[in-house]
Amino acid sequence: MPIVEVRDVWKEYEIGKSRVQALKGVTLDVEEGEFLAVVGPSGSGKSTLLHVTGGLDRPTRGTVRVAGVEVSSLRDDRQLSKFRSEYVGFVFQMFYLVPRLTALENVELPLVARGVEPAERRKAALEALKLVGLENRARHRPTEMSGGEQQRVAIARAIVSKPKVLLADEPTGNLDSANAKLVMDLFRKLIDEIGVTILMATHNLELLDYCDRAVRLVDGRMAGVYGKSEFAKLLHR
Amino acid sequence: MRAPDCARYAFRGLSERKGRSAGAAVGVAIAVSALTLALGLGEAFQIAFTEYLGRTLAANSVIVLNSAPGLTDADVALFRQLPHVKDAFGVATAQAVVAAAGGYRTATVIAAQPEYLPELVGLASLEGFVEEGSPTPSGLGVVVGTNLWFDQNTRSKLHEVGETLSLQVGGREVNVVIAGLARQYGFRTWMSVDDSVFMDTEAFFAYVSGRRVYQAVILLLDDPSAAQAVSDEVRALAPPRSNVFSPVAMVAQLGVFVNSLSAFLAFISILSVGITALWIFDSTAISIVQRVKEIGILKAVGFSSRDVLAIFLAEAALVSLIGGVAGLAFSLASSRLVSIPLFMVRLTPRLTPQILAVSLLAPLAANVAAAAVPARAAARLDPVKALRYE
Repeated sequence: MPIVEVRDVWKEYEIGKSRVQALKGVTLDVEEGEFLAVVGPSGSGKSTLLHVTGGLDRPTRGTVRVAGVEVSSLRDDRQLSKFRSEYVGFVFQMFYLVPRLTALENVELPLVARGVEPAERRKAALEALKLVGLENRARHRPTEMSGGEQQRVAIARAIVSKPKVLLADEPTGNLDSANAKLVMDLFRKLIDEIGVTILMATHNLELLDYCDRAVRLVDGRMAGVYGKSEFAKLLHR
Repeated sequence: MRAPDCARYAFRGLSERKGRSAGAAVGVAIAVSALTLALGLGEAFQIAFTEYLGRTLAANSVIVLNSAPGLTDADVALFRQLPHVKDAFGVATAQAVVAAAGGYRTATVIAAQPEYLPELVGLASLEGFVEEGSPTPSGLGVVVGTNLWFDQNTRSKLHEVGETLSLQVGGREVNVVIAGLARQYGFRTWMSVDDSVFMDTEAFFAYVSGRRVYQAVILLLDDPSAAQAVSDEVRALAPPRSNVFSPVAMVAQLGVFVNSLSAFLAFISILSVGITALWIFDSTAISIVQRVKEIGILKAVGFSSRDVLAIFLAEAALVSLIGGVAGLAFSLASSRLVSIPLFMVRLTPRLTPQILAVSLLAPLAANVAAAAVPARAAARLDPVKALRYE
């Protein structure tokens, strides 16, 4: 049974007086422990697909199910926030760390939201930092760290509550190639060590080497699904 | 989210914006101080006022004044028969001139039967009425008020017990002997004890006034709440041109004034609390605009709208608490320095536990309510839009 099931998902936005359709009937299954890349040009709906999958946004139509939970039917804010803190972890292009908090405190945030006791969450946050290789930077603030380190702290924050699915939106978009490689290696390590499933939106096709499968979105529609052996087709488009 | 984590996160938020947080806390401190001192002064005023009235106006009495033709023993006997009147006595008075420091001064010669003197001067007994000598006038022996035997400027005695005092009354000279020197009392009902000469009734009618009439009759009641009813009855029975009044009614009327003054002070205080609440509203709104992205982050990692609301309300509550405690400390320290002379007493704010609690909690509630408006908007923010906000 797929860990992520997306069925005929539509998402329509109102921008001023005009309506924009970001997703147009997307259907997709992601298996547990899979590393799936979502590729496509800017504005193709990659980020929106991740947002509706992670319960940050609601689809206009269709159903989204993550680890058996029908996210698209969650209406109550508390149910949605509980889902986000327990089932998914987000990694963004801009890292989105809280600048006044230390790396450790940033990583603790999802557990703070869940009401976990301080000692327990501190232990979990230190483990997550250790997993991303930053246990020695726990007391540093984001402004005292490089971009690559900040993104690794963000990844530690995303996995601290041991989510089923990691949703990464252009995670290397703000990093140089060396740091991008570090992050991708880390993603593979997380799949191997903790069995997390990763959906990564990217338009950097060089990252496909790290992925198991890729889906291509164009204008909010599924334009193709590619297995590892078919990545070359994507690269030479 | 656990409450201690909410408070801790809120404190971290405040400490990041030290300048604005400190400014808001100072604003709250000023408002709390103003509220505490205003309420404390109102309370002190009310207590001092009530005490003063209780001391100067006998609450359980009705007073009948009639300077001409005056009140007779028959009137006194009649008043004694009225319901709720447990006793009544006449007071005869005359204006006199006596020799005092560097010249002459006017005095009131007051005559009442010795057993009623305590009621007249507002004492439980005459013990302690005088500084020296006898407290009871007898024959031509009189008790003189402080202003007549003591010079306040030179702090020296003008007369001694046993000396003869010459009273000029209506063109006549009456020589009396000083039997006692009264202590300082100030005003009592309708007379100044300090400017009076207390004389035996029979001697008064024999040597000072040719007519046996009283200028005042004081009715002592067994129930102060009957004062109004007794006053009405006395008005119907008293000779023409009598002036009947009840201290209880006066206290009630003046109490309205005191309450109005307290209400005015409270209004001023509420204004200052309102201004602080506006400040907190503004400060919270600015803080939210600056932290939209942070709100998006919090929601993305699992904080609910309620958690976000709680964080901003906790920030407002923390600023109010810090400012409030500082304001209370300032009020407690400065209340000893605030001293307003009133009714021959010095008024200092009375900071009761209730006043301290109200002064702390009212601005706290107002500030949290003010912060709730922008905080609710922050809580309702769409996480995706918040993360994209620039």
